Amino acid sequence: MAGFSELIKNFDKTRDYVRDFFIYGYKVRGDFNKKSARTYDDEKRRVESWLGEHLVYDDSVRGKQVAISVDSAHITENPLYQAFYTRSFTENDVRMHFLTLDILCDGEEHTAGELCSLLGEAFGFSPEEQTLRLKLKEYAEEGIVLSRKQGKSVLYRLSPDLAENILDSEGMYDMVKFFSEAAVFGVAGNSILRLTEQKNEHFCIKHNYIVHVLEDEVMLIITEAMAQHRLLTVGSFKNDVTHNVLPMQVITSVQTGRRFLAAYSPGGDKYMTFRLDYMPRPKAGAVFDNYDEIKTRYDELCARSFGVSFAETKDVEPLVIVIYADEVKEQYIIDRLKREKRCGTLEKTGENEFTLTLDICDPTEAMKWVKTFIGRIKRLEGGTESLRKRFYSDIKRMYEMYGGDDDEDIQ
Amino acid sequence: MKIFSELYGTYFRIITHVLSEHSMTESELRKLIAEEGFGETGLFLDKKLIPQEDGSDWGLLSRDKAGVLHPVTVIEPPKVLTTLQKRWLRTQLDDPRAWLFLDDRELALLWERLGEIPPLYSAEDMRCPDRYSDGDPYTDPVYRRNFRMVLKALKAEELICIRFISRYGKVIEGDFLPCKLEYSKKDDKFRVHCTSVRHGTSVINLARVEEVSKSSSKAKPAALDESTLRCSEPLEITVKNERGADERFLMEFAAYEKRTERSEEGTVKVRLWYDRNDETELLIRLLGYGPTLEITGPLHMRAKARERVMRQFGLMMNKGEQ
Repeated sequence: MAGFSELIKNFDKTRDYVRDFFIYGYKVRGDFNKKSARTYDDEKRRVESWLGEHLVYDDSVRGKQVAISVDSAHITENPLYQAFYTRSFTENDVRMHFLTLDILCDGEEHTAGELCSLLGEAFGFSPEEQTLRLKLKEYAEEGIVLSRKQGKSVLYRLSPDLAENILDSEGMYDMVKFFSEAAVFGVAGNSILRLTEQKNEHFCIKHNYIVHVLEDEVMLIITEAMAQHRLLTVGSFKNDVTHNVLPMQVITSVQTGRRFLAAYSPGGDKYMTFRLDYMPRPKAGAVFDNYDEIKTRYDELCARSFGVSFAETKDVEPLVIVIYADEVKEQYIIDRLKREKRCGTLEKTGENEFTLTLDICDPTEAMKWVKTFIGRIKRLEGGTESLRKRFYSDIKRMYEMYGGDDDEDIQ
Repeated sequence: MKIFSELYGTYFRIITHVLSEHSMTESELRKLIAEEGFGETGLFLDKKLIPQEDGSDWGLLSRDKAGVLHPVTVIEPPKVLTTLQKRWLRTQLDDPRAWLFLDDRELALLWERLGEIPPLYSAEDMRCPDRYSDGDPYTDPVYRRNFRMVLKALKAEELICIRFISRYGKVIEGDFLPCKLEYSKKDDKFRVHCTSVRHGTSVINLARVEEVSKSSSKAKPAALDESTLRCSEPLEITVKNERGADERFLMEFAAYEKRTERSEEGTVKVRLWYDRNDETELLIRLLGYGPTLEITGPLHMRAKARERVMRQFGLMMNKGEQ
């Protein structure tokens, strides 16, 4: 495929561009300076080809901006799945795939040598036996064919797990349609729908960070390592530092969209978190022997973690937030406190007064949520002194920002 | 096991479709590629599938004397589920939400077919610390029954009678036409968007539904018009380049339709479109950014933000009326 191709061999570079178009939307050609301008033009052209209608252009003072603009609550299919359907292949790949499967539809077992002969006889196509053997090995790993050894030979046959043999009811397809948008690795579910010519038309997902799909290759390595208790070498696009860690959990904030790998670092004997969107594909290493003990310690730390921080803040006290809520007219505020609180207790401490006590290792993490109660916070106690000072200073700055007693725009 | 593979790719899917047809004209082939391919797929794939005199095509189609194209293969390409796809399906069986779609027989069948396959991950591998704790009761038989009746009516485009408790505690009963089912990852709840002759456009929380029954009404309500729920003008926000607020904001509000522009001073100006039902939720989330973010318009939203900030300042200065 000489010249420009809308297909790609490697997802890493594309992942970066699609994310930038989707998250930022304000970047202009000159901002993409990590690679050449030609690379930018090619990547943009590919994204245009894959996502068409979802790409928008705006002229700003800094130049022409490209953005992917989607309201994810109003769509029934994540458009970024398209980016996963763009893997390039060779002429040999495509011919071997369709012609070999055609022969294997006879339901019989064949060696790679036999298949080579049959391909030649039926289609005049003669791949190298070794090339075909490698392809069949790959297909056995992907579950398309089954293989077994007989003496020195390896026999291959088509997997009997046709979509129609596994999914044969409307309810099953409804399940696939819903989870293809709502679950991790939804692109796998979407690929089943496309294979079987089905489409989700009824389910929409709110508070959905569709951009997470771009991290699915990374996630797959992480989940496999978690299942096998393997160490991982993880890095970051932001710097050249790598860490050798034991993965514990993937932590997803459904409110901020950030996703982290929580992991134990045997070198530093500490627990760390790593942003998935900054992470290149990690490398799996050896199995870690002492997993259970490390996981028990991790679970204990989670009980005092408001989000993703596990480090104990110096001189920290439980954070106490005293909230005003009219018990008769504002039950919804009390309901909010009950369902949104984490790692803490809620008590009624006076007439129309509720006190939330959060015993957490890093109270700074809670402050963004605490500020969603602005207008109702009677007192803020505990935590750390610097945290309290910043809160009061923030309110003062907001008071000034919104015009103090005389916002000209509003008066 | 790969997730980024040509096996799932658009080109392989188009070829599967083409080889599943007994015959096809060139123009039918080009049309299919244009419909199912990416923007530029036709430029490349047409000439690789259509037999070329110089033999540069892939040899997957032959042309008869009438010029009609036929697959060189004998059988339709088999639609085999890969290990990744089967493991993904198996993973969903552990999720209580799967119960909403499957009856006991279907659930048992899927377990029989997929039970021995390892899932891609377990529930313990994932944690969402800020998901609300009062999610819907997915395994409750009444909830499950109501869900299935709503879904059935949604697919059949049929009116149903729904009795539910409104968020103000009032019992409401009426004939509704379900138009879409919405799941919120944050709330862990399903809501059904409906239209009704009497109630207009309604969004009903499934967990608040007491009973769903067949409707005898013949009156067909108007189709769901989502624009009636949309804001009349976008929110206008300025986010400062302080404490990483710009980056955090853009990630957090990535789920919304928006336009952004970075100024020379480094602030990001944002116009963001939202559903009016979400106005309060949006407002409090924006206030959570403190002084690193300013709502500059529209005026009624700025006034609401200001009112809360003034009230908070009053509480701090001990001069509030509360």
